[in-house]
Amino acid sequence: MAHIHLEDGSFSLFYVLVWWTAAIILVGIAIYLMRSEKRPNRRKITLAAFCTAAAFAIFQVSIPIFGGVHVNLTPLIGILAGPAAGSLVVLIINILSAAIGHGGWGLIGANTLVNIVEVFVGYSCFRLLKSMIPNLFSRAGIATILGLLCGNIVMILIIVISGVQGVNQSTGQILTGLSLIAAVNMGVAVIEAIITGLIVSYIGKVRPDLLVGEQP
Amino acid sequence: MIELGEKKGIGIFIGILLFLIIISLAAYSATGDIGIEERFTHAIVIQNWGEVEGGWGWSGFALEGSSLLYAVILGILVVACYGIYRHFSM
Repeated sequence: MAHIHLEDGSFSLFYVLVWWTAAIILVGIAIYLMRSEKRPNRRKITLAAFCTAAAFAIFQVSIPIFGGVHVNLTPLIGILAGPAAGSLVVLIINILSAAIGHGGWGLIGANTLVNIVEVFVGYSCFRLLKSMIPNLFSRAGIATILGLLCGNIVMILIIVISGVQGVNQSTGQILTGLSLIAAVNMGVAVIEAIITGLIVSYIGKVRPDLLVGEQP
Repeated sequence: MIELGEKKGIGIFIGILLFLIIISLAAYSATGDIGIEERFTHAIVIQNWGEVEGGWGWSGFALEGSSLLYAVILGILVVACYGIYRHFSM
C-alpha cells in the first residue's frame, strides 16, 4: 500500500489545503454520483461499511515484514464497493487513522488522493481484465498490484510537488529515496495481492452476486 | 479455452509476483531493516518526530497510534456494520 508516512508540518499550509481541496472535490463527486442513483444500492452500502471496518482494522497493524509495513486493502475496497463508495471509505479510514495518531491531520487530503487512485485503478483493472483473465484470484491480484503501483507513483508525485519543509535535498535525491520506498512497498503489494485474490475468489464462490458483473 | 485463459492468468500473476519480490528484496537490502516511518525519514532526511506509539504488540505485529482509541473506534465500526447489515438484511 502507499501512504505518506510524514507528520503534520511536513507540507506547507498551501499544499495541505491544495490536497485537501482536491480530495474533497473527488469525494464530493463520488457522493453526488451515489446520490444520483434512483434508489440506494443496499448491497454496496453494506459492503462499503464492512470494507471500512476491515480496512481500518488491518491498516493500523504493523506487520513484521521488511522492517514493519502496513496493508490497507484499498484495491479490494474498489473491487467490492466500487470507486464512488470506495472514495468515501478511504477518506473515512484516513480521518479515523489520524484520530488515533496514525498519520497527520494535514496529510489526510494527500493520503486520500493516493488511496482513491488505488481504489479506482484496482476497480478498473479488475473489470477491464475480465475477458483476458477469467480467473478471479489472479485477476484480483493483478488489479491489486496495478492499483498499488499507481498509488505509489501518485504518492511520489505529491511529495515531490509539495516539497518537504526544512529539507535541503535535491529533487533527484528525494526521488531516489522515495523510489526505494516504492520498491519496498511493491513487495508488500505481493502480500496484499494474494490476500485480495483469496478474498475475491472466495466471495466469487459463495456469493458471486456481491461481485458486480461476475454473476454466473 | 477457459482453462487455458485461467492458466495464462495465473502464470502472468506468478511472474509479476516473482519480479516484484526480487525488486523489493533489492530495495530492502539497500535501505536496511527499518520500519516504514523510518524509511520515510531516511529517504527525505528529516528529523523523526515520532508518532503516538501503540501500547500493544505481539510477535512482531504492533498497533500504530493509540491502542485504546483503536479498540473504541473499531468497536463502533463493528456495531455500525451489524446495524447496517440488519437494516438492509442482505
